[in-house]
This record gives sequence, structure tokens and C-alpha cells, in this order.
Amino acid sequence: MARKEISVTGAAVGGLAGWVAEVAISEITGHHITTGILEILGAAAGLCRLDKRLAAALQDTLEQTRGEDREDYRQVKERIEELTRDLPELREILGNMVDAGIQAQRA
Amino acid sequence: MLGVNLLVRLGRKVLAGPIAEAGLLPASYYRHLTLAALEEEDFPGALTYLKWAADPLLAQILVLRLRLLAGRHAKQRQGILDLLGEGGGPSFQPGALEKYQDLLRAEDRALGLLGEYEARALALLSRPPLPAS
Repeated sequence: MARKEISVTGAAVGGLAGWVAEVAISEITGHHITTGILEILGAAAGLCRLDKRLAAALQDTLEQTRGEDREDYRQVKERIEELTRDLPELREILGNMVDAGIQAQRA
Repeated sequence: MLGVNLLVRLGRKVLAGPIAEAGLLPASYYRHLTLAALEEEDFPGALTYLKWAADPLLAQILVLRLRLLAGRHAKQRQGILDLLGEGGGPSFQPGALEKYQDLLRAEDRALGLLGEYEARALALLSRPPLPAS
């Protein structure tokens, strides 16, 4: 089997030609080739990672609760309990995350 | 390539427009849209898609985020009130009073909006989710 060779010059010329084509088409027609495809790819990737994104949203919410002055986990737990009295599911999840943080601090 | 692009754009416009806003897409797609709106702190957008996301946890996260943000605005508002309470002492620059009053009005507007969003999110939590395909 013939050995495949990588051409950096070829890649650069290909990239430049693609960019020129994209600019030319968007100038003439007002349509962007890559934007629509990238958005669809982004949505597909987002759909595949829903659980991870939900976990990230929870982590982010916990960070926001800690505030800019980086309060202690115990104070954060008190604030969470105060703000989530009517949100039982979230209170339990964030409470568990804070408990894990407290245990990690002790260790 | 242009044909593919036009198809993609047409599909996106149809999906993002009438079909998405009619609640005809799967609930997981609305969860994706709600999470994307939350990541951008676009609360009205998140509320739009939340009703089809069928995910009470997402609604609860939104409510807590709104409460945290309202808390920050309330703190800023109190800071402005404290400054205004000093009554324009010698450290007050000319025109500062109007500036603080403008800031106070902006904080009041923000708190009003956040309260309205929170009420909408809580209303979504207390009712059964709308059916999404």
C-alpha cells in the first residue's frame, strides 16, 4: 500500500481556496455556507451532551450561589436552603453537592 | 454546496420558527434550547422553551438563578439608597444625584422584570407540562 504523505502547502492552499469560495458566495448571495452547518452540528452535539450540560448548569448555579466573595460551604448550604424552600428536587441535589464539597474540604 | 446551505438555512428557519414555537419537536430538543438560553442568561428565551422541555429540574434551576440575580440587584439597589441617604454631602459631585436616581430606576426595572420571570417559571412548575412530541 502506498504511503500517504501530508502536504502542508496543499492544506494551506485548500483552506485558502475554501475561504475564498465562502467569501465569494456570501458576497454574491448573502448566504453563509458554514454557519448553518455549524449550527446544526452544534445543536446535535448539544443534544448528545444534555446530561453533562445539566450537570454543568447545576455546578454553575452552585458557583453563583457561592458568590464573588467565595463563601464557606456551610453558608452556601444555608443560602440554598433559604432560596429553595419551594424547590425540593433542586435543594436535595445542591445539598448533596455542597455536602460533597464539605467532605472534600475536610479531607 | 450552495444548495445544501440553502436547505440547511430553510430547515433551520422552519425548525427555529413556527415548528419550534408550536411545541412540535421532541422534549429533548427543548431541553437543549432551554439550557442554551440559560447558558446565555437569556431568561425570556429559557421560559419560552421550558414549557415543552418537560423537566421540572430545569425550571427549578431557572427559578434559583433568577432569585440569585434578583438578590444581587437588591444588594446594588440598597447600596445606591445608602449613597442617596447620605443626602448629597460635600463628596457628591454636581449631577451625581440624577445619576444615582437613574441607577435606582434601572435597578427597580431589573427587579420588576426578574420578579415577573420568576412568577412565570413558578407557574410552569405548578402545572403539568405541555405535550411535546
